[in-house]
Amino acid sequence: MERLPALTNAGDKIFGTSGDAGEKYFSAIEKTLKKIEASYQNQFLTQGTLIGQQFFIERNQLLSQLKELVNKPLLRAIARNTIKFEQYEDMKRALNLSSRSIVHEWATVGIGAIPGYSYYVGNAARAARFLKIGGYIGVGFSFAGATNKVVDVCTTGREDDCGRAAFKSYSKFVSSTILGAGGGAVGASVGSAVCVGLGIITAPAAGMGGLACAVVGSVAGGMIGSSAGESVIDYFLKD
Amino acid sequence: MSLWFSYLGLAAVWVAFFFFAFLFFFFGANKKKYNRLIELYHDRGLSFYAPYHFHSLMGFFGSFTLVYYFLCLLKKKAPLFMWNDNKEVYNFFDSIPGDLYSWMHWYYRITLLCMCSCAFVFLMALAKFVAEHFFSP
Repeated sequence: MERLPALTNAGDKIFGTSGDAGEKYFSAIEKTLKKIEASYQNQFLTQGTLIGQQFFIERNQLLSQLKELVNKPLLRAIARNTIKFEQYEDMKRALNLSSRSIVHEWATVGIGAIPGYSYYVGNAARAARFLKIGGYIGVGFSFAGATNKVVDVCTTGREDDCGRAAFKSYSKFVSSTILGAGGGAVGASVGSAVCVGLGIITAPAAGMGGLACAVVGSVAGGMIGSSAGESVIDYFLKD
Repeated sequence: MSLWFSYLGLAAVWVAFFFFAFLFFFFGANKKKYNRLIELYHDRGLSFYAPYHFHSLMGFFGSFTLVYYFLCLLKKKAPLFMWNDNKEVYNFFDSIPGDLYSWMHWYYRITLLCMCSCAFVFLMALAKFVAEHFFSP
């Protein structure tokens, strides 16, 4: 039982930070996968083959976009294992895109989805959907932590303190949520500013380095804001 | 005396929470417009500066900062943390329909009210500290 507050506390920090950013990342992979499929379909529909200078250029552009996405530092292993790409550096092979078998399939049963391809698109979409609710799972963990404390007080022979404990616990929850969100926003900006100031990243967008600085700043800012929110409630209700 | 500072501080926490909850639903109602603006921004070949790039990926939790960024561009003012000045970004809203961004003015004002409530909480904590340590008998 005593482990629950620690778990819910850790859960709200981890999910709150990674949720939305992760959702956008997997959505970008899903979008690129769909664009690749659409370029194959368009080419076959207009030319009847999967050969053509324009098609090769477009396909290579999309494949290198995808490669750049799935090879991002830190995310490489997560992306490849979540979407379950084959372990090849060449994205065409990693996605099992064989022009010969696609042409054979579409020539015999008609044009449709690339055989087996929906597996990768589905995995990316599922990962995005799961992470989309991440930020809210964080708040949910925090709420569960507050409720756990209230239930603990109200059911262990301290019923007289129940109302006061509920007020204190939920006040701490709302204050740490708001100040955590605010602290995270300020921390991300300060984190990036510090990295630019130290020459670790270069403006403007600063790629993954910039994102990492913002994430570190956001986690630190969120934790400071969240702790300050809880401390200030403790201070108001100390008597 | 210090008890009153506690009451006022606690009241401000809950006021801030109601603003925050309102912002959550307000954002939900305008989420499509918000995401469309980010998409259009990228479609024009413009990039966000490091902190705003992060906030553009954070959905509701990053919306406060990004709305501030967009409103600065709308007023053709430089936002904070804008190190590399690309003049192109200030023309972004010239060709964007008003209904995509009109909601942001109220969203920003309510965010400011929420921030003021939070600042008031800390002000009350400070006032309580001063009252207890310097003015108590």
